[in-house]
Amino acid sequence: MDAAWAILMGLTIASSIVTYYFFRPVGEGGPPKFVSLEGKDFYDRDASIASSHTKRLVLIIVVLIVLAFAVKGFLVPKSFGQDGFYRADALVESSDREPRHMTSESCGNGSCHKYEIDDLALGLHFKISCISCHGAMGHSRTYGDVHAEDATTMQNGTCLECHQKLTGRPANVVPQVDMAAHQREYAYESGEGCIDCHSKHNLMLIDENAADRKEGGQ
Amino acid sequence: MTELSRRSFIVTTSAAAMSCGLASYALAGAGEEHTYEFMVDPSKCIGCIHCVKACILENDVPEHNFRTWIERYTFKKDQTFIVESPNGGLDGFGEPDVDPKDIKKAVFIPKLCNQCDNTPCLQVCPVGATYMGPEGLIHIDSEHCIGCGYCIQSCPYGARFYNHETGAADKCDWCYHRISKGMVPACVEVCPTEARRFSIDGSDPLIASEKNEGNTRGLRQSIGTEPKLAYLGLEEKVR
Repeated sequence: MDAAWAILMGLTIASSIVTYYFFRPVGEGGPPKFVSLEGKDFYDRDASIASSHTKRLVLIIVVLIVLAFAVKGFLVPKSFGQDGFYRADALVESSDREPRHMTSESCGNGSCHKYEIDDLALGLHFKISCISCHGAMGHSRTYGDVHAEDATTMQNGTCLECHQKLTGRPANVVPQVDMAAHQREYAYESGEGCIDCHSKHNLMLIDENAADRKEGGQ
Repeated sequence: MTELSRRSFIVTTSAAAMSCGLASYALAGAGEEHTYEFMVDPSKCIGCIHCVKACILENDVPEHNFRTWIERYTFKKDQTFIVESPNGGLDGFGEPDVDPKDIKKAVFIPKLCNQCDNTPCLQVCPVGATYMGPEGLIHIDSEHCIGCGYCIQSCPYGARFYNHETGAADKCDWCYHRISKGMVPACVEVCPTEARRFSIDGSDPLIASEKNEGNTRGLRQSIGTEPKLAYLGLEEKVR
């Protein structure tokens, strides 16, 4: 389509040049075809040669212009310039990519993880989407399909990404913990994980054991 | 005679060319358009880096490149401040190299493409590979990009990088493949504290109301890039 248009434009320009060359007014700036000498008209040989050379030159220029437009037609990608100075298809391509991070609804769809999602709704983490902690299942370039493994073997590090005490972390947004001080305070064994006391999804609840230990039990 | 035909010829051809152009313009771009708004609330950002990880996974961002990253501004009592972003935040921030007594305030600032209305990256692209879509977002045509890097240098926010895997410039496009399907960007989806908020056609009215009340501002507004990304209650020194 573009190539055809370019060739058409090239031919138009070429034909206009050729038309002008052949129908231009003689004597008005153009080379004279005859010269008068002592009352007789002589054919001006030099002018004739110049004229034929010019014809050849014009032909070459016309061919080059047509060629340039044809090449441009092939090189400029399809749909370029349709909506602006860009390839209109690129916008379609970038919107066609498949999303990888799904919403929590997709985890609960078909009631696969309905229990977990209902449980989450009871606690403080109710606004947080599943993938915030669990990651985008099956799309990890580093670990491959993490749906089976990482999702169920979450370590303290997952909690501490948000809850580790850190300069700049606003205390009014998340409760923060200094693990060493936390262990001193609650006297748990170093091998125990966060979820041994704190429940997994409905984060409002704290295991009874933790309360016991704080009072000196066990 | 010849003069007249020449003029009429020029008039006819130019009219034909113009009508061709108008027809192609009328045929193009009949898709539906949406309004997208993005607001960052740094006072809620806890620096958990979930957004950075999600972005890398969502968009296949190569190692050590970032479409979005987190910076920590540590303001000291002597009016100076330091900015840190170890590997975009992925290496963990730890404690700043400052005496804790000298710290006046520290805040995490999520950074991403500001989607400027008057953007320099668009102006410098020689081939039209960076372009503004009908919705006002700046996109990159990675197939058409020749990788010259002008846009990477021109971005005053450092939001662009050279993607060695695609051989093209790359940057955040607010997850256009998600927002065009009605989803929020990956970083917004994973943000646990709503420090990043996104609105499609006013789906999050808080953004519009905060904007109307004048509580938001863009980064480096003085340079005239007119960024669309709004930061809520941003410290004056953050740039």
